[in-house]
Amino acid sequence: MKKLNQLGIMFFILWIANILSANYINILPPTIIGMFILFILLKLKILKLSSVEDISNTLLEYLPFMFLPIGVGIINVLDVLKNDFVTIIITVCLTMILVMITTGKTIQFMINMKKRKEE
Amino acid sequence: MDWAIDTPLFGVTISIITYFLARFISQRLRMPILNPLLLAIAAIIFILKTFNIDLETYNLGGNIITFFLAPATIALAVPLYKQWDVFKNNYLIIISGVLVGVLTGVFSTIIMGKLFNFDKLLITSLIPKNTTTPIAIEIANMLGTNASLAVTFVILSGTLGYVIGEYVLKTFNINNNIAKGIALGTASHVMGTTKAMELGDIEGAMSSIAITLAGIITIILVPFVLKLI
Repeated sequence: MKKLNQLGIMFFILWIANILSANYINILPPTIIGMFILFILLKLKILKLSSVEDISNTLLEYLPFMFLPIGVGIINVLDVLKNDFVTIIITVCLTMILVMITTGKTIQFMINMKKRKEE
Repeated sequence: MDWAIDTPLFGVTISIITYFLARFISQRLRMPILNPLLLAIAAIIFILKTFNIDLETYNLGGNIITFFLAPATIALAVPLYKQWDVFKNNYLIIISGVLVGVLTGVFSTIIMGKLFNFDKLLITSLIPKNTTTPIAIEIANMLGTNASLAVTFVILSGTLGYVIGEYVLKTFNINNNIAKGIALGTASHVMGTTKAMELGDIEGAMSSIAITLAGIITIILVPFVLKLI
């Protein structure tokens, strides 16, 4: 029953996050608020790591699979995409790679600077 | 045939079987582009098209799977908690990196969109594509654009990041754990984070921080973007 209890905790946090997101913090989605709540509860030691660790590992293990139905949803906009399909793919691909490189390189550069300073 | 597929069991079962087969094929062929998720999405779209099955029928079961995406996303707080010191010791560097990434993403998208002569609706729906789905919907509404189109691009850049991210990082010699994680999360949100988790604990935790930061920074940028288009 351990994992059921843990799942219950996750759903409860998510439920609170949903209420907060719908009524007070409209700009942030429930999942991000839920992440904050879970993190703060762990940090303040209100929640022990062991009371959510097993279920978190399990959920994270299946994360890629959970994207499957959303991905299949692309089927509904295939017609809209048809005209510019190739150029859209090029745009998405190139900008994604650019973001990855600039972010990674900036951080790597700054971390190396910091290391050099410390030495 | 409706009596056979008009149940959540259809969507759930077909998803699990397809994903199982996709993983099997992917492991056998060992080609990075044949990612299990990508293969399974293509296979199910093919099945639905071939047998003329409505997306709604598939989603009777699909929605049950998607339901677990929310608790799985908040579970990202756990690796974050475990690796909090890494963030605390590098927070200025991390925020700077995400800011550079978000600015690059938004402006390169606008420039390429203008270059390819996309209409305004298409460009604006491309802008939130590097943020996580719920934040992207929020941004799409702020920009007054088509939300389901925006979600499609979110999934496209997420899937792409998940599939080729590791190779992009390798090709461009990005080998620091923190840099890898933040880059994956900033470029490909939760799906990038899924890859980051496979690479290591620090990568995964940093990537989940990047999702939140990138989302918030993009939301702040929206008013400026509106002036540009």
